[in-house]
Order: sequence, then structure tokens, then C-alpha cells
Amino acid sequence: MHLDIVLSLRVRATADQGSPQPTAFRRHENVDPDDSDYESDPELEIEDQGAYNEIENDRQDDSDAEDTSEPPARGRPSSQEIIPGAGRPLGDVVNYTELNLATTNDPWSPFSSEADFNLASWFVRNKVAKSQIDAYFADGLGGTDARSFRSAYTMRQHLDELDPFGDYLVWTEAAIDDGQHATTFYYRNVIDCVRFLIRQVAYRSQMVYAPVREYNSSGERLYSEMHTADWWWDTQV
Amino acid sequence: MVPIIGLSDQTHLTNFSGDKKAWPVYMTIGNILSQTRNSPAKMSVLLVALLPVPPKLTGESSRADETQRQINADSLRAVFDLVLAPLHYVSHEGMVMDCADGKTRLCFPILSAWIADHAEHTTLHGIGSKSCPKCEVPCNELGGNPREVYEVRDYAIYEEKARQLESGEAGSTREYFRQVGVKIGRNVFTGLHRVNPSDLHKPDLLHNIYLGLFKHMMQWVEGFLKKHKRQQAFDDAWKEIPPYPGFSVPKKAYREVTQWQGKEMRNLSRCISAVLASALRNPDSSQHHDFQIALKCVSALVDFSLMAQYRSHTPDTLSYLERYLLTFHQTKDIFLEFRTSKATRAEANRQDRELRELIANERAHEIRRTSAAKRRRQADQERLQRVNQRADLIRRENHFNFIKMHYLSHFSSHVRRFGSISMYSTEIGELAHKDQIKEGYRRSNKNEAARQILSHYGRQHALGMRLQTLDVLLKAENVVAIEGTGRETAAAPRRILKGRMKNVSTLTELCRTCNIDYGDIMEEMLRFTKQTVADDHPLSSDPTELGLLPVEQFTHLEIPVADFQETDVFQIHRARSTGTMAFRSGGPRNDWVWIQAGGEDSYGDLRGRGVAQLLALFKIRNVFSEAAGVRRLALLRVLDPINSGRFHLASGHIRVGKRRSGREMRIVDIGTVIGQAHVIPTGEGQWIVNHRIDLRTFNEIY
Repeated sequence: MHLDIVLSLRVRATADQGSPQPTAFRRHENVDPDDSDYESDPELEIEDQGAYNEIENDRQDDSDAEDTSEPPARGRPSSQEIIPGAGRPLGDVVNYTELNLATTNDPWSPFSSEADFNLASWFVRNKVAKSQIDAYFADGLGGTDARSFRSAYTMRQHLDELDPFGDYLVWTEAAIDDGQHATTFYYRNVIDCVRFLIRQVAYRSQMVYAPVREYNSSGERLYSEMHTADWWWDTQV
Repeated sequence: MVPIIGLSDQTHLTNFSGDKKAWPVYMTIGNILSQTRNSPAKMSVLLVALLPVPPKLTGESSRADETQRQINADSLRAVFDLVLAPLHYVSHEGMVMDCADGKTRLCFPILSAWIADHAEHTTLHGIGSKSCPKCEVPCNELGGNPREVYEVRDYAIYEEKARQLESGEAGSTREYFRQVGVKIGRNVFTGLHRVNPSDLHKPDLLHNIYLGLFKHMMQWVEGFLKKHKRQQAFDDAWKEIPPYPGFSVPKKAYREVTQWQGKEMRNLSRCISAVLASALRNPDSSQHHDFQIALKCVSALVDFSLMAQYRSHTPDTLSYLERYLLTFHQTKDIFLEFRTSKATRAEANRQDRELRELIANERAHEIRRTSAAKRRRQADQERLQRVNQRADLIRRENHFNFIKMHYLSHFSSHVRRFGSISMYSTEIGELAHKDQIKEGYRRSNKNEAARQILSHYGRQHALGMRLQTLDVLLKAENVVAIEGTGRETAAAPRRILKGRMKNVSTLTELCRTCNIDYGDIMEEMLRFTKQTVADDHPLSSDPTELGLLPVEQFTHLEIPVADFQETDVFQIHRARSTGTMAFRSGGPRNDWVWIQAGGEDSYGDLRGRGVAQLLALFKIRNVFSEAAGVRRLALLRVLDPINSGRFHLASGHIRVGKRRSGREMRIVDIGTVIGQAHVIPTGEGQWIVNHRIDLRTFNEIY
């Protein structure tokens, strides 16, 4: 059965000015896939009569009473295998250090102070209505100090500028017409979403770029995160 | 490579009225480690699309419905084609992307997982509701042998066949599609480079195990208990479940609960096998065999579900997983008679009615000629006939062929290919709904809601991301600053005594609050003192001197216990000992704890652990010796393992019992207390050790 399904696209006015300002670079410590959060489990001893440090009040050291009985088969990875060249960096992100530096130097931009940022954050979190925010400033509750915003409108503008990669997350409005009903729906560009996520400095310590095969001390394969399992390994080019 | 993980779930926006629905699609990437990815506070799950919710079927005529269904499927496909379109080119050629660590990499984003519930999968994959998206298992073998391997679905072939169909070759092709349970041309994921749609399905702990199989299993168990008249025993055991950290004690009797939530189901799964073992104690000879198998079956499913939650697997644990599943399948037939589907029950009722009418008709003819006694005899016969017929039908029709049963067989291969199962839970999607959709909807004026939802969360997201970025950047700076001076390692948490009791200052008073004989405690104190090594500043060995030492009593002990498969995350167990005093308007609470009693090899499967009840926690200060200072001690009632700590064969549990001989009480240093234990009383001074209470205990006792 063939139906005329018409997809019409209307790009929302807000933005599509090319890709955002990507960036530069700084020598990063290591991209070793090994920098995951595994640490070796210290062998701890159990003793009945441990020596306890005397500390004020009712605390007491019990570092001598940790449990050791984790069967060896379920321990931490002790060796691993990687695909040479997988997840290899090609170059450096333009303006990477500059951007990070700019963020640390002026952490609250485009808001002028932490207080402003927190106020805006409070408004948003508690779902204060636009008219109420305007009323807040009109009634003089915002104080007399210089503020980077004095209306809901400017606050929202600041919020729109807040995310340096906000351009990746633009919504597209589309309509679908199946011959009987026309429905609108919204979507984002999947690739841009990927670029957004993979660029987030916030996740950098938690990011992996290449598959790895991990083994424990008795040489058994360990499967845990996605990159330690077979699919990624097999699909990697 | 960048594996994309998609999530989708249709959801209701309003709680009580109206039927506003939304169909959000989220995505995240597999490069982010699961701990971050699955935490809603980290905001790493992005909404990529709000799909149009298809109009409901009117149900006026089946033809109109069929048309509508086809329209819905076609529009869904069109929408997905549009949303996934950017992937086509990039997954072939790759794309140089900026990465978080300041490097650029050639990235190949590939759709690798789609997390959704079964209903969603059937819609998206275009398969029948009784077919598995992964393999071509026929619907009457869903409950079959888990070792059986079926043809993996190849959606490319379906596509091919569908094209043939369009060019005119009907007949056999339609039959083929019907056989494999596929609807023609409705899979939304076909045609993506390097994506095998049959790989997208992920096992789901919440829906499949907790809200699926456990729910079914409880019905069977109820039927089983009813048949063997153990309902009361089960309820009694249910009420006696002791508290445990992270486990909320059921407040109602089992039969009083009408609605089960995911969390309650999870709680139930942690204790069900021990409770059942307690309810089914002392079987008579005819029940012995059945009880044993029923327990085995329940335990196997619980073991399976616990094992599936492991965050790190080895071939060893996977083989355990497979073995548990096999045991479950081998033993599940014990519950077969209680697994009656609605359709079967209706059919049984119908046959019942027919037979009754038939007999009534027959009787109408001959009723005058028979005596009362004969009539009665006949009625008995009829009843017997009806009962037999019903039982026959149920035996014939009952089966375990439902899709959730079949999914279990994919679990272990999934771990090998995609890693641990718990990180693909549909719960992530459900949490995302709350933040990203429902909050926004509530805030909106319900008019043109979609747009308001999107912009509302956009703002929150921007704020949150900025805070996280700042956090990471500032931390990085601090680390550099500190490194020069030598970084401090986080101190391991300590054991802490808390809740000082008033009015206790000597051993005599301690005995009074705990209702213990002074002579006993003094004897124990002396023994404890003797054990203490000489250079460790032993307490005085003179009873009168001991009796004068200042004592403080406490109500609870905080024990840090490392989380399972973690080294630096600790869970605090609060073992309480309130003596004879009431705990929070309830009765007194004296918790069960594990104590380190011997080496790894003693006490059988308990591996050197003993179970004990806390009677009192106290601190004693040796005022006579300057150097000795304070001792922190626990008074315990120690239980002995039965059968020297081995698993009880029939029930698969370890039992402990009251000491028959020798000292029951012991005083130990609080360092000996390892953590809280979960034991379920079975009467007669015996307890069942519930080692399935959490993953840690489960891993250590097996």
C-alpha cells in the first residue's frame, strides 16, 4: 500500500550558523585506555585483635577489618589487549585550551557574577513563570546592585548563550502528513548530538575511544563496560 | 568509533486525566562510561526527537484499523528515516570530531543499541508481538530449552523479500513472513551501515525480570502454596523478615499487597527464596519432592537475576548464569499447573458450561424414572467428569511460551557482545522522562506543549552542563596545585559507635538495660581480657576492678562495607542494638551481624563467618592504666551453623541454629563485626541465612 507521506521541513529560526567554534589544544596526559577507574584491590588482612588508633570521640580505625574474600575470578583486570591505532588522535582541537581557560577565568559568563548565575538557575529550576520573574525585578526584590539581567527576557537570552556548544542542539520542526492527519514533530541532528556529547569536557575523565580486552590475574576475560565486550572490538576498523 | 545508544518509550504526560501522550526518543553514546552515562544528574542522555503519537485505532471496522495501522507504520518509518538520515553518510566515511580531551579523532558513529520495552521493540522492528527481535524463534517454543539456538534474524533478507512481494511474487512470500513473525517492510532500522537490527535489542532487567518473570512466578508460587496449604506459613515468614540496609521491610502480609511496584518487586526477589524455604519447612513425605523442586526453581531464577546484575563478568560467571537458567528451565514444570492463561481459563469455562448443559438435557429425559440415591450418584459422577475434563484441558494448554521467558536465553551472549546488562536498563529512559518531558509539560500551559517542553529543558541542560564543566576544570586546576605537596589519599571510612544511651555508666547498669545476668557478662569480660595480648594493654582481670570501670552504651554501630565490585564506594550498614528499649515506636531491635570467626576454610560455605545477634554495644575505659585507654566492644549471641555451614541440599540454603552447648554469649572487639546479616527465622531456634539479599553476600556465599 502506498500512501503519500509528505515530509515538510521548517527549520526553526533560532540557529543554524554552521558549526560552533571548535578548537585548540593542549598536550593531554595520556589517552591510554587504561586510565579507567580501576584500581587494584589492596590485599587487606582480617584480624580479630587489631590495633586501633585512639581518635577523639567514638570513631575508630578499622582499616584492618576489610573483607578479603573476593574470589579471584571476579577481581580487577590485571592485563589487557588493545587494537593498535584504534581511537588514535589525529590532531588537536582548535582553541581547546583557550576555551577552557576562558571558562575558568570567567566562569559565569554571560552572567556577571555567581550570584546572578545562581539566581537564574533558581528561577529555572523552580519553574518561575516569566511574568513572575519580571515582577520580581519590578518590585525591587532584585536589589540595587548591578545585575546582568533585570527581566525574564534578558535572562533567557543569557541562558541561550550559556552553552558554547548550544548550536549543536538545535531543534528542527517537521510535519508529517499521512493523507488524513498532519502532525508536527521535532527532532535534532543525531550527528550533532554525538559531537556535542563527545566534546563535553565534563565527561573527559569518563570517556573511552577504543575497545579493549581485559583479563584478570588468572587470564580470564572480563566483560564489563561496552568497550570491553566483543561487539566494539569486532566492529572497530 | 562512537556507538550510539538510542532509547525510546511512549509515555503518558498526565497522571489522572486526559490522554496526553508523548513519544520521546533519546540518545547517548557508549564512549561515556556507564556510571556517568546512567546518572541523570550528569545529563548525558539527550532528547533527539519527539515523535508524533499515532492516532488510536478506532476499532470501528477491522479494515479501517488495518489501514490505519499501515499508515502509522509507514509514517513511523518515514520519521525514523529522517531522524537517522545523518548517520548514513557519516558511518561510511567517518567524521573528524573534537573530543573532550582536546584531540580530534576520526569518528564513526554507529547505532549499537536501542533500549525500549518489548511493545516498543515490536513496533519499531515491525514484528509480531510474540516474536523475538533477535532470532526466529517460533512462538510455541518461547519457553523451550535455553540452549536451543535459533536462526538470527536477518532483516536484510526481509527487505529483499518485501521487494519481491512488491514486484508481484505473492503467495509463498507472505507465508514466509507470517512464519517468521515479521510484518512486511516495517522495520525502521534497516539500511543503516554496519547496523544489524537484530543486535539492537537489549535485555532489560526491570521489565523482563522484575515486572515480568517475577510477577509471573509469584502467581505460580501462590498457586503452589494454596495447593499445599502453606499460605499461612508463608505470610508468617513474610512478616518476620528482619531489616537490612537498602531493603525496606514489608509492612503488610503478603496477601494484603494488591499492587507491586518495581522497587517492591526487587525487594521481594531478594528475600523470596529464603522466605519460601521457611514457609515450606518440614514437608511430609509426599510433598518432599515437590517442595524441593519448587525451591530449586525459585532460587535459580533469583540467582539468575542477581548474577545478571554483575557489572563485570568473566567466562566463569557467565557459565554460572547459563547454568542457573538451565536449572530454572528444568525445574519450572513444577509450576506448570498454575500457569494458566486467560484464554485457557475461558476455554475451560466454556467447555464446562457445555458439558453441564449436555448433561442437564440428558437428565431431563430420564429424571422421573430414577431414585434419589441414583440421582445423587449420577451428580457425583458428572462433577468428577467435569473436573477431569477441566484438568485435562489445562494440562494440555498450559505452557511457558511467552516472550519474556525466551529473552533470558539471550542474556549471556549479550554480555559477551555488549558488556554487562545492568547498564542497559530501561530505567534510564524512565528517569529521563521525568526530567526532560514531564517537568516541562507540567510547567507549560498545555497548549503547544511540545515546544515549551523542549525549550524548558534546553535551559536547564545548559545550566547543568556549565556547572559540570566548571567542576571538572576547577578540579583539574586544584589537582595540579596539590600535586606538588603530595596528594592526600581519601581515608577509608571507619567503624563508628553512635547513639549514646543515658543512665549507663557501669557494667551493672549495662546488664540491667539489656536484661542480662551480671555473672554471665563478667565471665565473658574476663575471658575477653585473657585473650587480649599482653602488650595490647589488657583490661584488668580482677572482677571487682572491672565492675568499677566506666562504661558507655550505644544503640548502633556504623560499619562501612565496600560496595560490590567497587573499591572506593562504601555502603554504611547501621547495625542497631537497642537492648530492651523500643526502636522507633516498634519493639526493641537487635540486629543480626556477620562476625569474622575463623579462617576462610572453617564453617563450610560460610567461609569463616559466623552469624550473631547484637545484644549490646559499649565502650569501656580503663581508668587504672594510663596507656590502655578505651575499648569498643560488642556483646553478641552467637549462632552455630547447622550441617557445619554447608548448603542444605533440599532448600539450597544454609541454616544456623542456637548453640546447644557451651557459651552462647561472647564479647568481641567491634572490629570483628563485618556487616549486617540477613537471616529469616524458621522457628525451633533455627534461622535460614538469606545470602541473596545483596550482590556482595551472594558473591561471597555460594
